Amino acid sequence: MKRAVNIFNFFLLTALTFFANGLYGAEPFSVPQLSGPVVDLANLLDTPTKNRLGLSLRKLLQRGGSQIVVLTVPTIGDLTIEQASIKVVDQWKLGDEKRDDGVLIFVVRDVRRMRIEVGQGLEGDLPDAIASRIINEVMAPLFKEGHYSQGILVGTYEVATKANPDINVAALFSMPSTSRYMEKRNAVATQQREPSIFEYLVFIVICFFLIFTRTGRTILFFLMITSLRGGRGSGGFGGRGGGFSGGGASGGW
Amino acid sequence: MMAQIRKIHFSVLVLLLAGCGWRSIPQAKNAVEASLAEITNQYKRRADLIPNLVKVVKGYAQHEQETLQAVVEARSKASQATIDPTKLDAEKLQDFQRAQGSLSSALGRLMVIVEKYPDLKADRNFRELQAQLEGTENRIAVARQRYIEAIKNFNNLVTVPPESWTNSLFYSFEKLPQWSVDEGEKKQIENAPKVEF
Repeated sequence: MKRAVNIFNFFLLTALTFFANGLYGAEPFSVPQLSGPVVDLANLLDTPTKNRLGLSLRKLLQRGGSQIVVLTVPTIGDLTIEQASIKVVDQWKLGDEKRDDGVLIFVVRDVRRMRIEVGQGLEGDLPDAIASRIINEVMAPLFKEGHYSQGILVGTYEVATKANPDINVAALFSMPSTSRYMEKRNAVATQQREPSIFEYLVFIVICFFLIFTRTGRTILFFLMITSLRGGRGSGGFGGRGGGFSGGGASGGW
Repeated sequence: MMAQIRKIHFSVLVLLLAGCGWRSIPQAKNAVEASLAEITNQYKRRADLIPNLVKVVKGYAQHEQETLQAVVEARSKASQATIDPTKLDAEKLQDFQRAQGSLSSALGRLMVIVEKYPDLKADRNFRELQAQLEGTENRIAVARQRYIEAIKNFNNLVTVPPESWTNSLFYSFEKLPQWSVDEGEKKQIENAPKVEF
């Protein structure tokens, strides 16, 4: 019983530490939460575009493509867009840890500026000159006429195409009709079959081993330690450790 | 029994050292060296862009020989000033910064005169080069900021207890000079020419 209380205390303490870190890390421009491939805090995108982009970018990542995120914010305080953008990618760590293949498409509404921040591993496929051309010749003209959704969609498509020469990005970005999308989701859902009773039993036995034997507890302890170090940000659409060195281009509209 | 106690002592000692900079001090030093190498790498990238840029500008603006010449000279001086990241020498670092700073201001002046030549500004080659140059300048800024961070981190480790005790016991590293922006460059940053498309 006493051990259980100790373990509980340990968890409580860890949780508190993380919470405190979150509280005291406040800054003038605070980097928003990476909630998905499209973080539209400035409300520049309409809902269909948001869904379509989110779906395409997730699919791209699943096929082994680069991790591309669209972020729009209303304001960045007195930072320049380059400073704000590097801050965001330093925290989000988009892209694979080894390949460094993340891209941030960053739009700041109030100062009417945008930036494409390119991960270190993509600077060859998506050099500054190309990024600059996408901003000035594709996105800015559409933005000037108020077509933000379209501008971001087409710009992101261009970025995805350049960054993934081996993947058929055009197919990923063509939006299926709503009904077909639902069908596909159902198909995916039925593919995941229920685990059999045998698999449940194995799982329960492993749990028993880990909790009720001395060796098991040691292993559990080490598992917990290692998962503390490496587990952050894995799963879902979290950052995966990609590095950035300031490559890309900025522009206004 | 004794052996067991000794074992425990040893592991406690190792744990203490692990928490007190045994590993983190050399790691921080390596980080400083790596980030300085990154700065020189990005400056080199900028230097490599300049010949093409000068060539393109020359095609449109023959009357600006003086400014172009200044850029070429500053570039060759900046290329000569090199630093060895493993041997940090405050004086050499200053020379390096000064040379790169004067290249920055020569380039700044070039970008101001470009404004007078609409044909040049519309040139596809020039626009690509300009985008690359801007990107590289941003990379330099990022690299410098990371270098400053790395030095700060290292200096904290070697001066702030308890890690500093490990340092004085085992490594005795000196505090490193912080990267400073020199006077000429400060002026250049303050009236940085705005390059608009």
